[in-house]
Amino acid sequence: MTTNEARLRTTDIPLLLPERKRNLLDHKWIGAFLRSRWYPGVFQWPTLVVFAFILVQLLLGTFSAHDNFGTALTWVLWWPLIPILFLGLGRVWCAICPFATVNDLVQKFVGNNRPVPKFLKKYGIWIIDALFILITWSDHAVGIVESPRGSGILLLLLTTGVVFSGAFWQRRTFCRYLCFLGGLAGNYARTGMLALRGTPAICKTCTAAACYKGTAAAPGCPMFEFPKTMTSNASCNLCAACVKNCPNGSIQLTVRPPTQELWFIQKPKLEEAFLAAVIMGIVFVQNVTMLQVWKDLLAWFEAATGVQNYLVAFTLAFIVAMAIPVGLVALAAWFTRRFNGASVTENFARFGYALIALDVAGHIAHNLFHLLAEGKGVIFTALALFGREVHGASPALLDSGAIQLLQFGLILLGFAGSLYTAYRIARHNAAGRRSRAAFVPFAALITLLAVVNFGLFMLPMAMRM
Amino acid sequence: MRFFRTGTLLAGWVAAAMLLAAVRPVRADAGTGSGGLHQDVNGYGIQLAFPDRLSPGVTPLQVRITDAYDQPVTTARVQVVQTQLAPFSAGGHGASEADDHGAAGGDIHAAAEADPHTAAQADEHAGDAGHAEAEDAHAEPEAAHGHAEPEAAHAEADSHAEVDAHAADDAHAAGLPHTHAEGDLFQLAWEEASAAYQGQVIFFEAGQWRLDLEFDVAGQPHAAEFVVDVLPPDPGRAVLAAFAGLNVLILAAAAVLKRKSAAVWRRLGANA
Repeated sequence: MTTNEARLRTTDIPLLLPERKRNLLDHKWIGAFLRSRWYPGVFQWPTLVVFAFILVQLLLGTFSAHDNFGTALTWVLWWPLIPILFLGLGRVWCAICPFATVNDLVQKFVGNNRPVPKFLKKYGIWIIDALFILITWSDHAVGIVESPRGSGILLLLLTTGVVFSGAFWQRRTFCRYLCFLGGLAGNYARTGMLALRGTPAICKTCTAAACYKGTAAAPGCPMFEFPKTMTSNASCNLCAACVKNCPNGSIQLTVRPPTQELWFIQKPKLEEAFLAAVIMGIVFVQNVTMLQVWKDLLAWFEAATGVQNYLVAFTLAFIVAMAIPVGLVALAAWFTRRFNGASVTENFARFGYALIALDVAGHIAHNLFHLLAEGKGVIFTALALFGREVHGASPALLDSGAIQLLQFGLILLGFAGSLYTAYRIARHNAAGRRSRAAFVPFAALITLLAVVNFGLFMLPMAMRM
Repeated sequence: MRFFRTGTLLAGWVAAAMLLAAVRPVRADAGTGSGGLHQDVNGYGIQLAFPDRLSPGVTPLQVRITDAYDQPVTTARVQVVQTQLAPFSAGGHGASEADDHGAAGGDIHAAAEADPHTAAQADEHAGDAGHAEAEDAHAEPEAAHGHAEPEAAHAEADSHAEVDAHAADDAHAAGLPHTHAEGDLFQLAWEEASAAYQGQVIFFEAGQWRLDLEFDVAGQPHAAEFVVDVLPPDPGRAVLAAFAGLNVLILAAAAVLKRKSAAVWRRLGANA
């Protein structure tokens, strides 16, 4: 069997054709709601109000993260829930994100609507990669999560970026090309269970392109997507503008198995695969620095190298943690090269996506600890706003044993998802024994990363607040 | 978008403003502000009052002492010594340190607190140098400043403490070595107008501080202990103003450019 034959394997075809699936837009209530002018505004405005309130709390409220309602809402509630949302509903958060609303408002009043600069189109994802790494590093270096003021300044920086983008560039340039959370969301949304696509048979004959250009009903796709040619949900925020605009009823919203999109990436991009590997490193860093052994590791590092400065020690540890998953993927790609004939870069780009399922699982598992072990902190800090102090009560929603069990379950699911994705990618790009052989190095890598994750979640973690 | 109609927009911002205005902002001093701290010591009521938010530097301090009949005591000699318990931690009340240092140190700390005279014994029994050091650090200022209240009196003071209990508990649990950036002794003077003793203390840096208040009435010494959180200088408003300025600049630049380009288009249209 040739590579092309492998790509056209008949068992894959039903999964690729959305018309075979139930279109959620045909559902009376779902279709009516997404087509109504209330969506997504009905979520956007409350989100913006809450965001403004959080900003005030972070910048003008108590210094103590432990007592700050803004910190609790952002890092104990929102941040742990957001990857779960990406998994379930794709980038739907991006449709109601307060930054997007600010962007639209600025654009409405003073927007110059200039085309997106070429360098952003070309290097946007690399910029997102760099920003994501920088923000994670600065979280430890200067304090973001544990400092309400730090968190507030981060949000203000993002707001300024959004205001600039909305003031000068078209649509939601910031969300598409610059937002670090958008980059993460894009990667995670590929594992998401919702897919929005045009119906090929209908779009084929369409010359209006109302979905992209917009109509009186709604503006064109804010994310610069063209449903006619969309093969990924990475940039779709499910704002339903295309649903409102399409004169032919071509748009379909279907449910798909988690990770399915990762099995058939048409044009794998190195920067997206790189981000997947980097996220693995970031999850490691976040886990390791919250473990009790972190101080022992630092002490050992200081003794071994003579470096006494925490910032230097952390930065070196951070670089190592980022480099390990990237290096391991490159190594696996090098081994795979022997079996499928593709270059190391090609294999890195193709198979790097397989890590995303484990990334999502590791990310959710890590933050599940904060959500479930510190969840009541949201209520306590909210009560404090009205003068009711709660002292001495446990902020935990579940005991640590139950949380750990959930974490292990999630890692197991992520491991299965990544392993199966790697298998499908191998099968999609090669045939027979060659595909099985190409799968082995990445299977070994994913197993290793899952074992490391298991190990990390077995150790006791420190609280965020 | 249709949703962004002016009316809707205004309604949204009005709702946001109302929400922001309705909710009382959390006080940055975690409860050690103008409401003050209160303790009952040997039948005397001690009320400590500060500015709303404690920051490093010279801080005015007001102490009101009342007797059993709630009448102000006007003839006492009042002095206060400040001792830093822990450096500032944004994580809140030195919680992380508390976790790290465990309970062992906390026990010894509590013993010494209950009776400062037993500090030497605690030193002898302290298993390691770190604990011994902590005890020395704690005992030193009390000895140096003649902090010699009866054990029972101290215990009573502790039991009636209405100080920031949350903060105090954490500090006790932490068993931190008391790094006190050395305690200075500040005398307070009676001021008729406020019916209280006025003076000042200096907090050298942000963190958790203990204030040992000593006063004697008719030759009888008494003491009380308060724990307060001193917060770093707050950049919040300055940062907010700076960002607001920057964003206004961006918006103004965009508005000017938009007008210019609109004018250019109009001219081109007219020429055509």
